[in-house]
Amino acid sequence: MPEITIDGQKIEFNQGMTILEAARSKGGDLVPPTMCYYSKLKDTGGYCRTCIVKVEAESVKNPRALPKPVASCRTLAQDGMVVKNQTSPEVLEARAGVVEFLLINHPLDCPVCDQAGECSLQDLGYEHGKMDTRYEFKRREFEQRDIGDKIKLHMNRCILCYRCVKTAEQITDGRVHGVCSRGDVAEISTYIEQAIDNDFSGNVIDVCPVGALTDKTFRFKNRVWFTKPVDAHRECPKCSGKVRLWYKGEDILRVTARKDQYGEVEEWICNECRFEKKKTADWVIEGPSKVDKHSVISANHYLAPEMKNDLSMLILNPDAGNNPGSSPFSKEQE
Amino acid sequence: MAETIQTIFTEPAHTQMMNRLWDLQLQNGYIRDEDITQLASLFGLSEIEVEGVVSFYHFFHRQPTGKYTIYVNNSIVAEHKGCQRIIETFERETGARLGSVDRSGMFGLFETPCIGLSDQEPSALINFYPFTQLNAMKVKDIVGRLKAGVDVADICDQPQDNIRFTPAENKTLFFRHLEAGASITKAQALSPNGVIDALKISELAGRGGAYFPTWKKWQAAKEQGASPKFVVCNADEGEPGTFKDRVLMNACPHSLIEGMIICAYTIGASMGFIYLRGEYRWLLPRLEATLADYRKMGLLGKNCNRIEGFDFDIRIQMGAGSYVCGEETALLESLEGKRGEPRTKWFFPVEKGYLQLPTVVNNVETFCAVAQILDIGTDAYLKLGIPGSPGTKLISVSGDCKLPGLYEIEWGMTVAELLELCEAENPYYIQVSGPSGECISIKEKFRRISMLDLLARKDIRCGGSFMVFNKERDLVRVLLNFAAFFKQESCGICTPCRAGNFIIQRKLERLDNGLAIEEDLKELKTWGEIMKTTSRCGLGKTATNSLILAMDKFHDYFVEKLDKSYNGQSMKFDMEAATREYETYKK
Repeated sequence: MPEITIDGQKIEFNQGMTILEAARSKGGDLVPPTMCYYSKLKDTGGYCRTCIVKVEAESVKNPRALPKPVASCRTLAQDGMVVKNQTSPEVLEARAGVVEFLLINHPLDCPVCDQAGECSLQDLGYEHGKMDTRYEFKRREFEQRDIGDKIKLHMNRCILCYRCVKTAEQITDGRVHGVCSRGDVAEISTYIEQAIDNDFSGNVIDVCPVGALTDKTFRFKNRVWFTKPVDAHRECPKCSGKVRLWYKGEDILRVTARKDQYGEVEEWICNECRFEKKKTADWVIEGPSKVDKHSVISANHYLAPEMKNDLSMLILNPDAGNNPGSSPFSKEQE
Repeated sequence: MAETIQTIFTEPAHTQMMNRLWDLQLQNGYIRDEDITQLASLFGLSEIEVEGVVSFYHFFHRQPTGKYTIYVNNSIVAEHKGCQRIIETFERETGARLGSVDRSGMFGLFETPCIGLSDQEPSALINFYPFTQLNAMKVKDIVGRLKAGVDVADICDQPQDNIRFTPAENKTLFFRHLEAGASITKAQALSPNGVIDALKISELAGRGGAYFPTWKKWQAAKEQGASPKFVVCNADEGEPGTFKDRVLMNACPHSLIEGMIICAYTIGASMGFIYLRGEYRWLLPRLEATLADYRKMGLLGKNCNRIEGFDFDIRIQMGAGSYVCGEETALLESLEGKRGEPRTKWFFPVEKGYLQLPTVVNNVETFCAVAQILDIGTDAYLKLGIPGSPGTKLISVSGDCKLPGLYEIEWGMTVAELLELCEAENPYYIQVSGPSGECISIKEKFRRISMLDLLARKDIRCGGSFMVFNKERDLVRVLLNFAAFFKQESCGICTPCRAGNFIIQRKLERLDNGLAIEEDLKELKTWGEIMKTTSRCGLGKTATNSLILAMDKFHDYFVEKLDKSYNGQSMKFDMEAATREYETYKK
């Protein structure tokens, strides 16, 4: 079996796998972060550039290093390839730069964004970005577009990962949204106010890594870290019916698909399960969800080290700083 | 023999998208809502996909653009030659404000980056007919005549070729007489493998600027099992300051066509395309006429040049205003009637190109060179230029010189010699290979122009553009013009290029307004470097080349513009940024 070395670890892979796929087959810290790649969809990746890695040697046959970092999601693994991800300062620096660029076009309105707490960009920014901003110009703004009564499009937050476009193309029966214009003003758009109207369109909410596409039925209801995820299923004629219910007390505030450790949907769900079935009686409860990846907020990452020592902060939030895993979110789980 | 294009290969319907959009744009001045609906049902696409294509190209509009659509070139050379005054004069004479249409709906006035006429600036396109060497009087006259109902075609200019120099002793390669069909017959005598050997000996490399060995590309395409195969000529000459392909297509379109036929014969292709940039629409009749001639002579169509079983014909595809389509995979996407977004490099076009079939993509100059090399033979060709870099190169010279125009130089000429030939006026720095190339100082004038030694930075590989600037030309403003260009032309699919070009432009504006501090310069550089390392295609990777080089070589220009009063605490107030929104609101 061919073998690739990533951050010093040897990984066997199947011919035709990308560097990223090979890395994920091993798991752990050597896996590059992604914002646009989505293993459940065809032809994704190559847009966001966060998964870049350094190729120190291309293959057994051709052991030369590549001059510039490559996108691991779009570069095939080869036998004898040597790749550096976490162990390359050049990659970390370049990635921090990409994060900075992603944030340039992002409004940072996390306090009023429903995605906060489960946002890939928040996680990425914390884990791979820099603490301060060098950006002091006005951020771009788009005209508000109404794309129907179930899904809210917040174009200002969009990072143009194209996941929703691919979802619409591949999961739903007819694509009614796509990308318009180019460059700095390119935007996800729906054709002249035409609502996204078909049974699986709600999945675009789950694939969106940021708060650009959110659930209108959950809008401003609660912060995600105050809700408790529970796995459940039902007999559904359209989809697998396997979902995650987000409880606040006795109420189901929203229904989403189940996600894996990389934040990717395990099985697509239909709009009926997502938007219509919000009573416990509709579901067979399986038990609390296992959430592998702690989000920024659930791990109390928002407290800078100096703040953690600040007495006033500690009084406001007695748990802060002492126990990183002790947010209300994880407490409810455990 | 037939005079119209032969159906050798039937292309899928959706590849005709761009042509249909062009028809509608020219017919109505814009693409109407009903057109989108009709095209969507015609090609079996969703409306948003059609909308996505329309909005990608800046010559397609969704609002009326007037009976006469005026595009004034705003490239840096045009800026120095006074395009701002030309725009103002057009505004006054037509009553249309820049970026809009006048009240009567007669004139639409827009800006566009380099239209390939840098040797005769200021220039503009009106309904895609060229108007060169404009001045206020001329603009007044043009608008007056259009108002009087004169046809644009009757009053437009015929741009000069301005071939200023060819190698002495009549050693010109590109502009020598080429008998129709002569080079094809020679190729036939050589057999396909012989053609590849000849190209190998001649060391011909891709003249679009990447200098990939032509024989390797053709060999790879020849070896592909899949069929049909295609030959694509990249005539999307978008790099500001370049116009060599314009001259070639105007002066010797036949050598281009022969080069393509030779390529088709060599690799076994059945169809060819000339992807012609929208700005060169005025060259279309000439190219079509030459193609028709070649069909009449039996050099295109079934059994070309009486070679049994060699069926090949060429179609011209118009681009519609997008610099990134000069990138070969973006060009192929556009040729297929889609948004011109560069593909990921899973495969080379020779493996999976147009419609995922083997495709050779070469520049106009490369094809012309192939035809001429086969005609004169490799021995004669190797006598031109210098060892390791044989042949001649076409260079488009513009900017601060008395004789802007096309120079065919032998490889190995120094920058100093070229500056002397074009009678450069007080040259101080030179932008070689366009905004994505490199900025060199007059101190480097003894560097040779050759294909050798790219990395050692001793010689210069010039892609074709050579813009000369004198010391009074503000380098920061030049770079600002480039930054605005790249921001405009970025396709926007990858993060570094989309956000990077935007922020670089903002920072340079700030510097230009005297509001920047030393820290800003450092940031400009780090951001530039990030774009270079992380962008997806050549556009983003090269967009900040000149900026980074210039910051080292010409630090003075930058330091001079810094905010001198900065005391480490309070920064100057940016009045323009603060009032910008109000200004837009007023409009």
